[in-house]
Parts: sequence; C-alpha cells; structure tokens
Amino acid sequence: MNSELDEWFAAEILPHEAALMRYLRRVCSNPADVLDLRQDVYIRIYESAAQAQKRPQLPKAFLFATARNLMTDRIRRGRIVSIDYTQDLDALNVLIDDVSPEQRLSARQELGRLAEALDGLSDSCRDVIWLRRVEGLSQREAAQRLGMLEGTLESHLCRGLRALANAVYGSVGEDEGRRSARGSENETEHG
Amino acid sequence: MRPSTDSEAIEQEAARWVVRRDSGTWTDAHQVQLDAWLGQHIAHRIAYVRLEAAWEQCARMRALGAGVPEGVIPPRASWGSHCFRRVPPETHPPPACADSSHKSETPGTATPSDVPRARARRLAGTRFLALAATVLAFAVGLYVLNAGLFAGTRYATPVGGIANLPLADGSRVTLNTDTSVRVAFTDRERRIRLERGEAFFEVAKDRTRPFVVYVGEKRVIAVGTKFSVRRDDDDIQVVVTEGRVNVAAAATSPPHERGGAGAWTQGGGRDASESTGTGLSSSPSTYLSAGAVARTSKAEVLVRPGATLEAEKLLSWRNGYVVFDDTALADAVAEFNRYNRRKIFIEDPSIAAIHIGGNFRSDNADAFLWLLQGGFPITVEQTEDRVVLKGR
Repeated sequence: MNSELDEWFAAEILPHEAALMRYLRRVCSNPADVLDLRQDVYIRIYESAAQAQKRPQLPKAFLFATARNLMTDRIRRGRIVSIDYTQDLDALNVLIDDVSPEQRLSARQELGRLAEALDGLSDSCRDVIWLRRVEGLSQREAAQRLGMLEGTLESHLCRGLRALANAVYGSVGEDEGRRSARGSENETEHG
Repeated sequence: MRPSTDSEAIEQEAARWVVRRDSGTWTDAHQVQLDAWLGQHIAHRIAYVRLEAAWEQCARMRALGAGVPEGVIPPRASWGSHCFRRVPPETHPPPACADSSHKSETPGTATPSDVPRARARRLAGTRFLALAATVLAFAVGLYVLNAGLFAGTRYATPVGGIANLPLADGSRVTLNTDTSVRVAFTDRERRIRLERGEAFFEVAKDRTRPFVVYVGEKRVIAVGTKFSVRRDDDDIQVVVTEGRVNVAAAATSPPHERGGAGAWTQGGGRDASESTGTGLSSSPSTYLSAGAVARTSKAEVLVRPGATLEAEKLLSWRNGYVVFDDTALADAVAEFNRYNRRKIFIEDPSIAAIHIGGNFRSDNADAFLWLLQGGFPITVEQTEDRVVLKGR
C-alpha cells in the first residue's frame, strides 16, 4: 500500500517529530498553530523528497532546514504578525546540536513507553485498544464484549489511535493533547 | 485564536481510515474511496502514513498481554517496572510479562499456571524482540541498525561484504556486497524492503503470511521458495531457483490484504489456474518459476523462463564468485566494482567492448587484472585509490 516514499518518510522523518515539535513550540507559542505548522513542514518535506532524484543524505538536518525556511518565509511575508510568533529570526537558527538528542530506546524501553501511552488513554479508549490490539479480537467481538455499537467502538479506536500516535512519536504537549481530547469528546458516533 | 481545524480534521479522518482498514469489513469500494481521499492532498497522505505507522507499532503492545487471562483488561499501572527492565538471572523467574530473553510461556508468580492462552495470543511484540536478538550466522562486516519504532530492523553490508541471516520465521536471507534491507514482520505479512544491492531469500512456508520483498516500486511475493532480488537504481532483477514468486507493482493494494487471508492473486480469490509465467507479461503481475530470470525496468517485466544455467551464474556471488560469459569488459568492470572499494576505470573506450569470460573470486581483483593484462591488449595502471585500464 505504501510507496517507497511513504516508507522513507515514516522511517527517516517521523522519528524526529518530538524534536521538531520542541523546535516549533520555541518559535510559536500558540499550541493550536503548532500542529498546523508541523503539517506544513511535513508537506514541504514530502513534496521536496518526491521531486528529488535521491533522498536527502541527512534527513534530520533536512527536516530542520525546511522548518526554519518555512518559518522565515512566513515571518518575512508578514503573514504572521501576532505576538504568538517570535519575531527574532535568529531564534530560528537553532543548531541541530541545540535540540536534545533523541535517545535510542531499547525495545524494552519502547514497550514501557507504549504501556504508559496506553494507560494515558481514557477508560473506554483503553479498553477498546486493549481488546483490539492486544487480545486481537475482531471489531465485532470487541464491540460485543464491551456492549457497545461498532460505530462507537470505531470512534474510541480513532481517539485512542491518535493519542497513542502522539505518545509514540513523543511529540504531544499538554495543551495540545488536552485540546485534542476535549475536541473529540464531543463527537457523535460515525456510521 | 485561530482554531487548528485543518490538521486536526485531517488527522481525525486519517484515523478513521486506518481503523476501518483493519476492521475486517474492508472492501474494494473502500479501497477506492481511500485512494481518492489520499490523492486529494498530500496532507491526507502524510497524516495517514503517520497514523498507520503508529498503528503498526501498537501491535507490539501484545507483549503486554503475556500471562493475562483472556477477557481480563489489566488496570492501569499494573505492569510493574520489572516488565521493562532487564531481570538479573539470579532472581526468581520473571513475572508474566514479555521480555526478549524469556520468550517461554512461564506464567510466573502473577497468574495461575493453568490459564489457557487465547488463540490469538501470538505475541507480535515478542517476535519483534526475538528478531532483534537473533543470533547471526557468519557475516563479514554486517551492520544491524534498529530504526526503532518505524520501519523494522535494517541490515546492511559494506562494499565487499556478505552476510547470511536467519529470520524469526525460519527463512534465511543472504546479503551481497553493498546491500541494505529492512525487515519488518507483521501479522499479515513478512515484509522485507530491499533498499539497495542484492539479496537471496530462502523462504520458510507460512501460508498465513506471505513473504513480500518490496524493491523500488515493485513487490516480489513468495511462499516457500528460493529467489534473489537485485536492484540497480530503477532496474530490478529477480532470479528464482526453487518454487515460484509473483512480481507485481507495489502501488496497488496487495491482494492478500483484501478480503480474507490467503487471497493471493490480483483477483482477490485463491486462483487455482495460475499461469506458468512465461514470456513477456503485460498484466500487472507476473509469475516466475524455478529457473526463471526476470528483469524489470519501470513498467516492463522481461522474463526468461528455464534459464537455469544463467540463474546459477547470477547467483554465484553466494559462493564468493562472479562469473563472466562473453561479457563486455565495461560490464565486467562495473560488476567487479560492486565488490571492491578500489574502483577500476576504463580510460580507452576502444577496449570497453572487449568480451571476456571466466570465474573470478569477487574479492580477488588482482587475479582479474592479471588476466586482463596477460590475455588482452590492455595495460593496467594501479594507484593507491584506483585502477585505470588503457589500450595497448
């Protein structure tokens, strides 16, 4: 299903999401905008890699250069004038070394992080994720076990997946996480 | 304050797609809808890839289910830090929680020992850990790089290296010079990506999980076979020595992911009347049987069936040999250069078309050069970092 570009993106760019988010938060204090910024950075990276002959040699450096250029462009074009964004262009020139290096987690530590992420979910999300992903029940079986409609189960799964993704990438900040959860709690079930 | 509905809405939609795809009720119509949504905007595709990778990672949580009775959802924080720390061997047997060095089913002290294990309790997490801890057979300069969360484990050989790896399912992979592969086994698929170079696969039978080698924009699908895949930029070569493989484009949804397990062919059903895969194929997928050599470049697949002798020559690298048979010097030099850091250059175009033959040890460039100098109108100039061939 995934093209080679997708796999490259998942293998070489996404692992740096935590560092990217730390950088974006330094530059922009509005949590709502940080996620949009991240999306724009990813779009630039993806398009650029798609057009290039070869993949970038140093993906992390490429990622941060792209983020820096994006921010600089936006500030220079005056699209961002609110006090939320730093006007200090020098602050954008964060050296790679400045950002704390990601630790290479052992498989065991990664499992621990997954368990923590799982425990961070709401009750219903946690139950649903457990039955589907750990016990391996089918969607129907899990819905029956928990006494909920499949559509509801899907909703919980979606919420759980998004929260787990943020934990897995180590990228969510408190504000962003809370907003995400709060916004989704108002959802009605989907058919 | 501008609400960030765009990226959030996109992520929400992507989550729905990832979850739905795994729900067991996926149809071709769904696939069409998903492809359409992905095609609408790169942001859609990125959000989807991101969440799908995370979803795959969640499968590793199965390790947390070790020893937990079916139907019981453990309360929060009931894992115990011992699950995630190495347990010294002198202490009592570890509690029920997957650990790479304790793959056995000892329930430990936490649960009764006669609890039956749920049928779906294949510990994907344990398998992943086991793969990471696999003992490697002989290897010359093998690098193992665990990409951590995302794309499985990467194995690579340097120029002139060769390595033979056992995989967790009993398959074996032999990596040739300057090769890089990623191995990521999931519940549905035993997935290998050939990033560069050449590898030979001996695939163990597992009818529940196809063995798929992703190379460039192609997939080579196998069950119980032996075959090699070689990549030179966009050109791909597949040689089958035993059994059969299917070479298809990677861009379409893999047939085995549609409908139930065991669906192999493009049509989505078990196909009893598989073709023997001879001749030039214009269909999206091509079957290759033992003795077949296939070369693909972009969309075209050129198959030579029954080319057993050629197949043997193309695989002689496994024994450390390169075999030339009426081979143009330029090609022979290019082949030798794959195995050696000190590259050979042809300065005189006039000698590039000289044809040579013979078996050479890939790591013995000297013998090769000696032959050239002795048997042909070629002079060999050697410096510390390169070799230059000129006409005499």
